[in-house]
Amino acid sequence: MNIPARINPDHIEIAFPHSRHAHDKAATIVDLMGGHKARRFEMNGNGSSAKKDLGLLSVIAGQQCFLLTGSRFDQQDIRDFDNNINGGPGLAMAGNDQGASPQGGAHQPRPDLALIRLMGSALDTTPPALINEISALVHTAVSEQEQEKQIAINDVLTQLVDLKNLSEIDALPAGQERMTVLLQELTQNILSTSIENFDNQTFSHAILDLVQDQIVTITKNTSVDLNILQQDMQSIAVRLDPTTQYAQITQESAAVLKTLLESGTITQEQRAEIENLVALLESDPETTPALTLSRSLATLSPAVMEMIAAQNLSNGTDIIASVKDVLHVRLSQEMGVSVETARAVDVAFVALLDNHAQMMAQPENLSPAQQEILSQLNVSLAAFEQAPASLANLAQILTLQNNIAEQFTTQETNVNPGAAAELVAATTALSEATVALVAQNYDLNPAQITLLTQALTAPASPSSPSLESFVATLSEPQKLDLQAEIAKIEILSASGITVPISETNAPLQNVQNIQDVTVITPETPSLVSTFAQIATASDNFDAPENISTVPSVTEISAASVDTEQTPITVANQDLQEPDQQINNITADEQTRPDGAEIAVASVATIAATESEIKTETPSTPDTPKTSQTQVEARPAISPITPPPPANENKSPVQVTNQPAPTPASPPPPQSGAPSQPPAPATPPPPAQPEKKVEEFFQKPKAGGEDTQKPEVILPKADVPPPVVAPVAPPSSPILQQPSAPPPPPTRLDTFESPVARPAVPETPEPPPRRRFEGEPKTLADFMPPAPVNDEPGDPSPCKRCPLGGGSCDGLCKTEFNKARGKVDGESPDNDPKNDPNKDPDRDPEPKIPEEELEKIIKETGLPEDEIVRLIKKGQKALGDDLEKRVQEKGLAQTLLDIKQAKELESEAIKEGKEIDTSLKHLKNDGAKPSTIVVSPNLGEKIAAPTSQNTPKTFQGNGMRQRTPRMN
Amino acid sequence: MTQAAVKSAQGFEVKDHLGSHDFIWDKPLELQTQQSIDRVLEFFLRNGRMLNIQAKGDVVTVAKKIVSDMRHHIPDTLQNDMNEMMNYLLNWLCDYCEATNTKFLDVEFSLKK
Repeated sequence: MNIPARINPDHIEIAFPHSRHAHDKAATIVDLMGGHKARRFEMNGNGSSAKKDLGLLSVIAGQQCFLLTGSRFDQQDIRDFDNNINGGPGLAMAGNDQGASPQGGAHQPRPDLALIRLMGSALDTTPPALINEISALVHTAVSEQEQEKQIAINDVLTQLVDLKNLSEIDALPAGQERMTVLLQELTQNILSTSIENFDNQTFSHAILDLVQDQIVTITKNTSVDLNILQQDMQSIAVRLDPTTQYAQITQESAAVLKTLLESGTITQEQRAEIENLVALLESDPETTPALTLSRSLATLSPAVMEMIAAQNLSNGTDIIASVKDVLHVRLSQEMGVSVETARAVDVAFVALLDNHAQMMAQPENLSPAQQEILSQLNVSLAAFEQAPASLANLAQILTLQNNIAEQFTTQETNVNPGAAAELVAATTALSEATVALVAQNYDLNPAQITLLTQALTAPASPSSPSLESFVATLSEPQKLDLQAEIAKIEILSASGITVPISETNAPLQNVQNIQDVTVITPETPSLVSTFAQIATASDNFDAPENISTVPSVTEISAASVDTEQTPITVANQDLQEPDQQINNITADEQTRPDGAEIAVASVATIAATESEIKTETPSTPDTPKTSQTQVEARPAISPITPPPPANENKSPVQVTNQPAPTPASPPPPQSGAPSQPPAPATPPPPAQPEKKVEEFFQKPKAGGEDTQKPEVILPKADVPPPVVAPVAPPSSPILQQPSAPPPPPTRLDTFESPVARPAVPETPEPPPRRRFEGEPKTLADFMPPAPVNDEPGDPSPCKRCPLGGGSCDGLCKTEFNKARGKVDGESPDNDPKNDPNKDPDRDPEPKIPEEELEKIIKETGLPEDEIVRLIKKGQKALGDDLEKRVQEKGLAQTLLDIKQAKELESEAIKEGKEIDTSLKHLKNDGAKPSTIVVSPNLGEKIAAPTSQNTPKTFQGNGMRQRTPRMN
Repeated sequence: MTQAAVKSAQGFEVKDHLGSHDFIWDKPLELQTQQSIDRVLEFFLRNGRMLNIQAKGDVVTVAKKIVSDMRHHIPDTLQNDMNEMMNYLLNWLCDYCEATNTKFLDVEFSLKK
């Protein structure tokens, strides 16, 4: 019984049907390497024929099954297969005379397949490092050493597979016997392969770990006695523990070296060298970097080297080689990279040290610029020794690589061309090895590495990739890992070490340009110390909590051009136009080949700038080097802080000099509040920098859509974060005209001011009572009622206060009195413009009781609607005089007068005459005195408003004076 | 290359793996493996589950993805059956890649109803 399958060199189909189809003829091999395992198929009643060209599903149509279809997509695989067919004895597939079998041809060991067979369904639990290692071995094994390693690993894994297969028939005595033999062969194979040099061993830690686990797993359910393998297993266990291996080798090496010290033939200098080496060997690995020990080995004098090389360890290996081996393993363990990568870094590091020493041995051949570069190289190597995987150190090496290539190869020099070429090659080798180290350490893909190296080495130009573009490609874990490293690079870039800045107009570019001039200045001895300071500071970035202790950018910048130990506060507003100064410096740099002159000019320029700053920013000698505004400008560290706009020419630290709100500062003006005019000595900042302050506090954008240069934002220790006052958007005219005082507060503003307003009660304020329609209302109702106990400070309960019970402390009375003071003018409360629910252009409909209305109709003979219109017109035209006139002449007569005036106006309009629509001619018209006595309630009825449209014009003592409009 | 072989007391020949062993398509499907396939298949059909796993890359990567994705579809009660079935499938893959010297595969593992 088998399962349906089509097997071709470039394609495979396997079906896993249910057993109920086990007796079908389709449950056989359909096609095998072009041959036909079965030529006739039932096709489930669909006919029968040889259907080798059809898909497997068409042959086994109707069956429910799992189907695996696969095809090879590497053309090299197909070529290899064809070569095997052509070169081999032919295909010898079982049951197939046309089958192809690579067994007879050149067969490549496949440790990857052995791993799959060994792990089986537990493959998903296999460590990724082991899978990657074996995959790389299968696909990239080129050298003879790699091929030998491939074969060795394949043999070990195959032995484990055999052990596994044998364990499944453990009950068989022959199987147990064979398992014991296989185990002995396996352990001896491992130990004999990796006994000489630890870092050159065939089996990595991952493979040895796998072997150990599998041996235990396989023999767990068997009766195989592992005691006979105890010694071998212990040896493997030692191999699995690099720490133990390191301690064992270093202790033994130190012991041998001490015997050298006891001999009396060595000089004092040689003794000192050996003692130094012994001390390093016996030191704690956690405190002594691996490359420090490597440097010590590399700088041994030839005589001492010969003496040490003559000694051997107990296993016959020489001391230096063994120590180097364990160092590489330790370095790989510390960095999380392969031993090969660690070894490459160490080799390149030592080679560059050697070349550097050779160059410095003949200083007379070096130009000042070359000496300076070599000094920088020495400092960079010292920093690299401490942290080989640091991006900042990589940036330094890449930068030095370009400088060294320029100074030692492209320019005329007295240095031996061969030695110069070796120096350049050594620097290049170290940079390449470091790139590989960084790539493995931070799990960067080749594209990310390319971006990173270009960002670190490409000249500053808008087209060159920026660090932000590199950061944008990082995953979130990578960003977390690289956050501190990016910050280090930013510090270096700001410190003057020529790390390219992506954006020409980026704010930090201003700082960098100033410092760049000093980089090539041989007369600035502070550069080395500056870099040492940076290196020391950068160590603090390892822990996020130490970030705040790192010197700020401007502090470091100031130290690099230290003149009076006063920081060059480029953040000051005096550098609001630094481009002009920087352009001058840049021009000097371009026109003057002498670096010293450039330096003088640059320092002079900076000093001049500094003096200007001092005039504006007086400081005492005891003043801290970093002003408070500078400190406040550095919010929480964020290497991927959104950068400023590209056309933003102002230094980012200019933002720091914005009038930062301090406890003594007046509160920011709020709308409606009594505004305080801005102090003339502190002009309001421009809008754009204000926006940058907000940007500093924004969370970095993960997508990195803004590809402009990130800024270094370093918080200062013990300084609280700045309190950013709410700022208007940049387009706000307030910011554009900051000196314009706000408009004087109106009475309404004053009344509505939250300052003057009493505290808002927690209890909900009852809504103002709304009058219902038709409710009788008198003119007096529109007058503010005389408050009871309305004097401020009156302890009696305030009865009109909506709070009730006098809890307003009389403030409402004060406001009420203010409102009363407006009775003659206007009341803010009753101004229809202030009430969105009130339409000032719509007059209320007078409501007149029917009795009064009938009486007026009788007296005037006017219809009801006309009466209403006339009343409204009178209200508009006469205002408060209407009431007087009604009292004097009576309502009916007043209405008649109004009617008459209206008729006269209509006639005048028809005749085209200019008329006075104010009806003022009626005011003093006493020609027709009224005989009608208005009842006391009539006025009330006339003025009775609707509940929704309260006529505010009746507020106070009279009607509001406004120009009426006649229809 | 190891060519050791032993015979069990019952006469069953045990060969080392890299010997001139038979490929899996030359071996009969063991009953235990078929039963495991049946149970896993029935689980999918009974529960109306769909399965479509696509993987591309080197053989180890492809095999690992199939196993890990398949494990998410199978309940714990069927893990042993799934392991048995996956071991059989991986043996097919390995033998095919060994016979054809294939290093990179584009594979789809699905349920056909």
